[in-house]
Amino acid sequence: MKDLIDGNAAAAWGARLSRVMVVPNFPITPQTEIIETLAKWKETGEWTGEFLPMESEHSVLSAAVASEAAGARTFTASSSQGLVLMKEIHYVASGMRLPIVMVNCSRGLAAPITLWPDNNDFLSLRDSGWLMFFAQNNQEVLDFIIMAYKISENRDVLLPSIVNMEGFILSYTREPIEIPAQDVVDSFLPEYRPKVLLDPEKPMSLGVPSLHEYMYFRSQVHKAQMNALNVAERVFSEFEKTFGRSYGLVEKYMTDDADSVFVTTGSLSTTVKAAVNALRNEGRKFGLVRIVCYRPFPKKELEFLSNFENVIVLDNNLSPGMGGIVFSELRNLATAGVVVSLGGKHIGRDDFVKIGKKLSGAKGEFWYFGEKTV
Amino acid sequence: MSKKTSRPLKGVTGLVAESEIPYHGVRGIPHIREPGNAVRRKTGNWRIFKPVIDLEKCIRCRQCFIFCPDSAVIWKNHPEIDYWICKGCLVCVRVCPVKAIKSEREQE
Ligand code: SF4
Ligand code: SF4
Repeated sequence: MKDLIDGNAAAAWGARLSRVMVVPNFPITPQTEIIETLAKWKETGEWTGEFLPMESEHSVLSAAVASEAAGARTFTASSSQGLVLMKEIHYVASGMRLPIVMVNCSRGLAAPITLWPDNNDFLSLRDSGWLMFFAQNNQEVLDFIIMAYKISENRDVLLPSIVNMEGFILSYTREPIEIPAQDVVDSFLPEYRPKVLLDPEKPMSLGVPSLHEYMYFRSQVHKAQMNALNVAERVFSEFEKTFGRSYGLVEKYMTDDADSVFVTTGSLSTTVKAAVNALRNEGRKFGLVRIVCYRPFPKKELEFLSNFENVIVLDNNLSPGMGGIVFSELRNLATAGVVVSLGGKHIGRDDFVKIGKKLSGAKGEFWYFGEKTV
Repeated sequence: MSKKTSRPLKGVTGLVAESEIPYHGVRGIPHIREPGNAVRRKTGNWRIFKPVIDLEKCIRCRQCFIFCPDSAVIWKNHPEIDYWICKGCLVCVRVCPVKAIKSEREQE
């Protein structure tokens, strides 16, 4: 069925359709509505899982680890300060190879305090072992949650996933999206049947100390991440067959005859596509490459960036002392990196047009502060 | 208004090379150096609905004065709403025992 819903409602739908069994939760703007929606459905009986309000995000993810280890498909959501408070347990979840799926509504990190989006919270999970997906619109939020379970629960992967949407820009913006029927989702995403699980009949420990073997186990997390590239491609094509919407690790927009491209992530991409159209109208051959799957990093799929004269990476995130995070990962392929829209600072189509023009032929690291003074 | 308001730094706008970003020392730290300045922050323009008190009905019970989360209800032997601050949450409408406070749609 088609409905006009915001990103938070889309996330709640993704969880509900995936038949999640446990949702440990803690409120934080701009994510709370995801949890509220599930709470409402719990009340009405439309969703029958366990709703566990916890005392902090650290406890939320700890509970998620426990329930996933006990074999229950588990979901949660957070944002910004909440996501970084979970940090310790993110590494536990990936090391214990638990296919939890969570959603982050990205929001700039304090200080100063902001409610508006940038991706530093999300990207702080870069090295945690979680699979990371950037949604660019509300449909993708819903679709990616369902696909994330399928990818995560694959025996060649068995790693947690996180799906990111920019807070406010997606979380509180309504878009018409397709909500698939439950039986179709059921046929695509079967019940979760873990091979290893905590069972009171057969007691065992998970995530135990391991000194000499530590390196071996982390190598397994890396191998599982690399396996996820193939698994994700298979899941994407199966998803397309079932639901008719096609996705890839990387999205290419007007790149075939382009001489210059922007590299983007998340909802920034939709605005930049409008800028690409505007630049095309002026006869400039721009295109866009969007990184959809950020971990595992689609290195092979991005090698073709070397074909373009200008590769301008747009980062709405910052590693102070280094620069834009995506730019630093693409340093060998990119010509210029621009830090934009930190803390959700307004940036629109025309700003990207300006950036595209000014940075054609330019090399190095730049910042776009927007037209209004600080 | 005091002159000690923390002023925005001289702004940097548009596209700049990283090397051109100025460094402002301690002025580049997000401090508010003057206490008690929240009254100068207009939150009245957040309102979608405006609470309006009917003093004829009002029994001077002070519930609105106590419950307003932003101290926007001032007590002058009777309640009076400071519309510069009142953000329109309508808690006062909810707590008034005699329904003396109505909400009206803001006209923009
Ligand atoms: S609407 Fe809210 S902020 Fe305004 S006076 Fe009533 S309680 Fe106070
Ligand atoms: S709550 Fe109602 S009756 Fe009580 S003081 Fe306020 S306006 Fe008057």
